[in-house]
Amino acid sequence: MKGEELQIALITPYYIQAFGLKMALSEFFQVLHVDIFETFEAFEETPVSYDRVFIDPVVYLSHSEACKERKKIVLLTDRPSSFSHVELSVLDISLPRKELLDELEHIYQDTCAQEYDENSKELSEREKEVLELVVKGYISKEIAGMLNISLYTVQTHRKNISAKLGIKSASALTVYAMMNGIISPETLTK
Amino acid sequence: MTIITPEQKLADVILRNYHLIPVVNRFGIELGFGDKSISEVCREHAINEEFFAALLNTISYESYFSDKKLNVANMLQLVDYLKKTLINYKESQIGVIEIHIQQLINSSPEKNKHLQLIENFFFQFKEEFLSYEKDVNKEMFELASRMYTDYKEKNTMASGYELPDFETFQEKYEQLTEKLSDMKSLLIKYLSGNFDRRIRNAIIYIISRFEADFYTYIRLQNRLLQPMMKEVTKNNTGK
Repeated sequence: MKGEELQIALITPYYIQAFGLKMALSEFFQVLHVDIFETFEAFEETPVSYDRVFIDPVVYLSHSEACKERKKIVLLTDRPSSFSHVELSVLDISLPRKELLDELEHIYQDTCAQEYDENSKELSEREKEVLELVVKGYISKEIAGMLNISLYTVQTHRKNISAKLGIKSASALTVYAMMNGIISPETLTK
Repeated sequence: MTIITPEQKLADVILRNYHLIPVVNRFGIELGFGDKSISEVCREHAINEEFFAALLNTISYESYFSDKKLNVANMLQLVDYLKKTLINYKESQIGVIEIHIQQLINSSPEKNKHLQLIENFFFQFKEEFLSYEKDVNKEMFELASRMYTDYKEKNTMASGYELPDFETFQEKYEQLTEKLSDMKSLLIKYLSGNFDRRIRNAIIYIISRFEADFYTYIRLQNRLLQPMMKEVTKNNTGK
């Protein structure tokens, strides 16, 4: 169901890979729904429209003509260099935990951005979370710890927020947040 | 690019470049000089006409640079101009914006909380600007004046002086301009409610002019004053 939740599909015949990725996604990102498909045909039968599709490369290559929305696809592989010529996002599943979660965070963030019309300057749910913490006075490092994401990701969110709103300073972001009911004056003290 | 020279009529120069009005005001020149040339106006106000014309050219044209006409010998005149520029910002641009914001608040029949937020944000900016002005005066302008006097009297490089942290001053300038830009974004995109739109629009125009003028100020500080300060403190080996 579109709206607040992101819809994620995992297409892979490897149960452990699908289960592990679903666990990682669900544990670290609140607003998403994950469906697992063992075959491409099973995926094609569902009427759901997904925001992001993680797919085994062999499955993808045998059904590449049927995969029309290329920007939604992420290949699951432990050999990302083998797919550097293919213009698709790739998730290196051999990465250690922290790097893997960072990569998932980037993909999550890109997916949130893609969910909106290109002309829309609305903040995503995650960006609103970060904005609220920024105006409450938390620094990027603290925000990373509180949301369980990397410092780099927090900085990227902050850049995206500033780019979308046309506002850079923390004090002006506070004014924006108060004007738009994201925060009230009483909740400003840490 | 029409280079400004002392023989030209000051009125013609101003008509071509209205943004030079506050610049000439900072030299104590008020409008109403009729058809007088730059030479005549400078003579009346005891201003070095070569320096005056070179400064107007540097301000008007980003690609203009003349180390013959704007060099260490003009350091004190430049410092004096930059000091007056900051005072002018405080009294004119910032002062006028403050008055307009008050008028904006008064134009709202109900107590518009958004306007109060804007006013508070502006006061934060003003405090930061006053702090910047104080620091620049103390750590850059006064120091530059002492260095130059030392250099001139002893006819040798000024020694025992530590140059200011130019990077920190650049960061402070960028934080100030960021706030000016943010203020425009808030006024243009997000301010809502019942108030006089004409006053809101006027504030946006004044901030835009202020930003442009502040940019020329920092160009003069970075491209002219800083190299002059480094020049008078170079050691004797020329490093």
